[in-house]
This record gives sequence, C-alpha cells and structure tokens, in this order.
Amino acid sequence: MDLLNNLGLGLAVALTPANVIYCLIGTALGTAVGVLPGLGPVATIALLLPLTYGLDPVTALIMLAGIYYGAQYGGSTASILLSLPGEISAVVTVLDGHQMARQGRAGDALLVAALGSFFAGCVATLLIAMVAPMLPGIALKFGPTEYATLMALGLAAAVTLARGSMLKALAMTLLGVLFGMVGTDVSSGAERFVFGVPELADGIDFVAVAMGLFGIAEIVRNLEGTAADAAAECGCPTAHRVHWRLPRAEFHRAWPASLRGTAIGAFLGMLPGGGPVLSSFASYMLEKRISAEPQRFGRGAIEGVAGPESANNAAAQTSFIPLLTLGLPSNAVMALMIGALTLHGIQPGPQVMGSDPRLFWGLIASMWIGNLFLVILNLPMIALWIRLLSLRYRLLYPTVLALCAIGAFSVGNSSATVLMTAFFGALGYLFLKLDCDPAPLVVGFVLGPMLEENLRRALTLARGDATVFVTSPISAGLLLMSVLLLAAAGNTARRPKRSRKVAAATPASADEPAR
Amino acid sequence: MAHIPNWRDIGAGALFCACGSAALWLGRHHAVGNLAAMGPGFFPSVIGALLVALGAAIAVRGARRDAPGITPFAWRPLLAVLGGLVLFAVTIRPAGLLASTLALTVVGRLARPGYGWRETAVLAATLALASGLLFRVALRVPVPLLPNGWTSVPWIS
Repeated sequence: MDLLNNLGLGLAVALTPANVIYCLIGTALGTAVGVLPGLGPVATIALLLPLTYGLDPVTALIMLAGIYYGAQYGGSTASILLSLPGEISAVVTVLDGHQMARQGRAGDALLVAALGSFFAGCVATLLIAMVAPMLPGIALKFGPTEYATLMALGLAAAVTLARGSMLKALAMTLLGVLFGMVGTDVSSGAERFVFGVPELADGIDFVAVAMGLFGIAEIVRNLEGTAADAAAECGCPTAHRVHWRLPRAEFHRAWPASLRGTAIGAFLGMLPGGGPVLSSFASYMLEKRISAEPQRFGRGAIEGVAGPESANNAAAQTSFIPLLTLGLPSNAVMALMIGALTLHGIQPGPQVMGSDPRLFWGLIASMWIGNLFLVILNLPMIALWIRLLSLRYRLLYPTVLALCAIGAFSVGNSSATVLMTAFFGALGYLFLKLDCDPAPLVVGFVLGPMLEENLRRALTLARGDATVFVTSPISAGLLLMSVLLLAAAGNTARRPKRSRKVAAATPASADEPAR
Repeated sequence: MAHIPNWRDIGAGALFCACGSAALWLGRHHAVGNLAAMGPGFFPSVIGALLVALGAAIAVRGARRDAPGITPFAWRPLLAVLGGLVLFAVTIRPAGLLASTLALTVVGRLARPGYGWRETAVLAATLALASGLLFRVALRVPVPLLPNGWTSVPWIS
C-alpha cells in the first residue's frame, strides 16, 4: 500500500540517529526558548534558524519543525502557569488554563495540554500522509490566475483573524503589502521605496518586521505600568502542586473536546492565512457553545484547555500541507520555513514531493516523533520551566532585548536589520496605542509580493482580460470564499455589544484576562 | 455628555492616509503600464489609493463615535529600548559583540527608574559573555566579538 510505503520511507529517514538527535535538540531548544514570555514560535524560529545553516536540508527542516512544536508547547506552558501568553493562539489557553493553575490544578492542565497535543499530532500526521499526495494533483491545476486569487483568499483570511475593527485590519493588511513592495521589483528591476539605501534594495527582512512589531513593541508595553514587574515577579504559588493524576471525570470531559479540537485544527491549518491562531479560537468557541454548563468556562473548565490545545497542535502540523504541496505559507511561521527551505536550495512547491520524497516523507514522519519527544520531555521538566519563568522581568527584558538584537544582526550579518527591527518596534508600539492588531500586516507583508507577481502574470497571459479570475472555476471558487469570509467577519465585527453582555453575565471570564 | 471622538481611529486613519499618500507620491515616477503589461508602479499605486480611502473611512467613522482616549505614550521605556537597539546597531561593527551588548543592556535598563547600577553591571557583563558564547562559540554566527583591530582570542576564531 502506498501510504505504508511512504510512511516507511519517512520513518527510515526520520529515524536515522542524526535526525532523531536533531529533532530532540530542536524540540528541547524550541520549548526552552518558546516558554520565555514574548518569544512565540516566530521569534523562536528566527532566533534558532542559524543553528540549522550547516545541516543537511532534511535534517535542518526536521530540526526546525521540532523547534516549532517545542515553541508552541512552551508558549502553552507559560500561559497556563503564569498567564503569560507568548503568542496569539496561547491567549486562549490562558483563559481556563491559568484558572486551573490558580486552583492548584496546574498539573492537570499541563497534562491535558500535553496529551491533547500529542493525540492531535498523531491524527494530523496520519491525515497529512493520506491527504498530501492528492494535493499536488490539484496544485498542478493552479496557474498564476488561481495563485493570485489564492493569495487574495489568504489576505481575506488575515483580515478575519485580527481582533477589533475589520476596516483597520484591512488597512493593516494593505500597509503590510506596501512594506512588502520595498526593494527591487522582480519583473522590471525598478527599485521601489528604497530611498537610495543599498540595504533596502533587497527588501525588508521578515524577521525585522515580526520581531519589531510583536517582540519589541510588547517589551515597551510591559515596561509601561507598574503591573509589569508585579506580573512577572509573582513567584509561583502553584509550583509545588504539580501532579500527574487526572481525575476520571475530568478525563471524560477532556477527551471529546480534544477530538473536536483536533478536527477543527486539522481543517483550519490547511487553509492559507488561517493556521493555529484561528483554530484555537474556533475550538474554544465551539466547546463553550455546545457545553451543558457554559458558565464553567473562564473558571477552569478543562475542555477550554483540551480543545484549543489540540486544535492548536493539529493546525501547526497541517499548516505544513500548503507549504509543502503549494509552496504557500499559511502563517508567519511557515513564511520563515519557506525562507529556511530556499536557504537550503529547495524551492517549495508541488514538485517537492516528487523530486525530494525523502525530505517530504521524512518531515512527516518526524512530526510524529517530534510530538512524542514533546510529551516525554515536558512532563518531567515542568519544574524546570517554572524556574525559568520566575526570572524577574527587570532581568528578563534586557535578556530578551539582547537576544532580539543579536538575532536580527545575525539574519544578514548586518546592522541594517537591527535598525529596521527598532523601526518596526516603534511602529508596533504606535499600533498598540491606536488599537491596530499587527497580525494582518505581517500576513500582507508576506503574501503581497506573491499576489502582485501572480496577478501580473495572470493578466499578461490573459492579455489584460480581468474576467479570467471569474471564468476559471478554481479561481472563482476561491474568490467566492474570500467574499464569504469577509462578509462573515463583517457580521461578527458588528456585534461587539452583544458579546459584552455575555461577558458581563459570566463575571469570572470578565475579570480574568486583565491579570 | 460631551462627544469624545475616537482618537485611536482618527489617529490610525491619519496614519493609513499618510502611508498611502507616501506610496502614491514616492511611486509617481514608476511606469504604471496597463492590465496586460503592468509596470512597477501599478500595484503600489492601487494599494496606496485603497489605503488612503480606507484611512479616510476609518478616521471619519472614528470622529462620529464615542470612545476612551489614547493611553499616554510611555516615552522613557520606548526611548530606552529603541535607543539601546540603535546603539547596538551602530557599535557592533567597530566595537564588537561584547561591547555592543554591554551598551544595549545598560541603555535598555534605563527604561524604568530605580534599577540598581550594580545589578545592571552584573547583568550586562553576564549577557555580553553569555551571548558571545551562545552566538559565536556555540551557534557559530560570524559576528565580530572584539573591537576592530584587536586580535581575537585564538581558540574562538
């Protein structure tokens, strides 16, 4: 059977001693860095990327994938124990996970997060192995026309994943597209928005954008009030309560949630622009809506941890599908992965699976191994993570700052990236003040140049006839999906008052996120 | 009750308008071309124009709505953090990683009043040493460790 053959090939690649060791190192380092406040998967991968420069491409990608899962799990650990989410999707875990920790159930929460992630990881790996070979067939039907509308769909999805006003999210996406235009135009060789600065001719580095907008801006925000030190230096009253037994009743609540979360995450992860962020929110909303006692949510409901954590991890895995089969980054992390692949001379796209089956199936098999390592590593090491987290913020933030500076410098071995990081840090702080979520900007920055390129090609092929976007069935379908997504987002955006009433009815959920 | 416009929306709208206009202005010399053969000026101009329109819509909507004002900017942490980064960028080439990490840490710690100098000194020294070991020795990033012209330690280079 094909599936077994492929998985066998993958396991043979992934289980070579070198790959196992690098997968283990990647998972461990990813967790260690990802558990630090403010360092989400994007920053973690950006920081640890240089580690993989000297490696064989397959090994490098396996290690990067390990870093990714590790960072994501590390973020959940920080969210549960200290209510310090390292990334957007971990915010959901804070809601009930930290409540559980406050009630002395930190061990339960961490255990459920780990097991839920592992289960989701196993299912998602199998799913990828089954679905992925079908996708390149579809991918070959993708010409510039379809790619252009696919990018448009990604941008539409970016608008919907932002918090707050949809108009602002749309504007942020467009601004990101403009930032993506900086540098030399591929088709004409014209330099756009370069201001005569040679460092800008190659374009703005993604690391500078992501690290500045999220990392640096967040540091300044944390240093604003007196709450910063208090929050980071709260010590850990729950540390000694960590235990491994999960009461039977809790288990029976957790596993169906985990199952549903896996399904949601696996599906949303495949959509470009959706990814883990959307999936954890979707899973939390579903669990709360179908629960017989929705009032428990926000007060330490175990389903509120099991569902989103499973969804998160399943999506983290399936987000590799569009990357490996279509060459499309479905989120910022995958955009970094594209960078890493091209660095090793691999052009992501439909041809990878055929031309480089060792890479493709090796990566898929290593996903499962990486998840296994996550469980093995993290359960016994929770006590250590807690000690790392109890670092005082006044010591922690200079450390993070130094890591960001050196990380930015090492990207292109140039000070320009550090200066750009500072610029985007300032911009990110301004956006915080103006209530603008930076996530759509990052997606626009990544997808914008690809949209332009494909749009140009498609229209040149069609001799300037713009109707090709509606006459191609795939393209028309993608456009329809974009419109529906935006319409749905416009709908939910117009209902803030009603949701505020709901929050007021459940006081526990209203007072919690402030912490 | 007096009408308080949503300054966050007005500010954001103004910012988007400014960015869109800048894109239109800076790209005015690029060939626009036509749909069949787009020039380098086509896409940025379209995006710029859309951004101006969206910015205006956001600002107008904001002016009509009541909202809490913008929380004050925390200038001290902002300047300390950005200043530290700029100083790092400027010094790393001539002075090397150790010195520039020291500078970054010392300036970054000015973000809030009341951090002790002794702690700053110990932290800066530790970070400089640790980052040197981590990035240069362990990760082998080709970053200069010592100031220009100083022969670096033989077992590192």
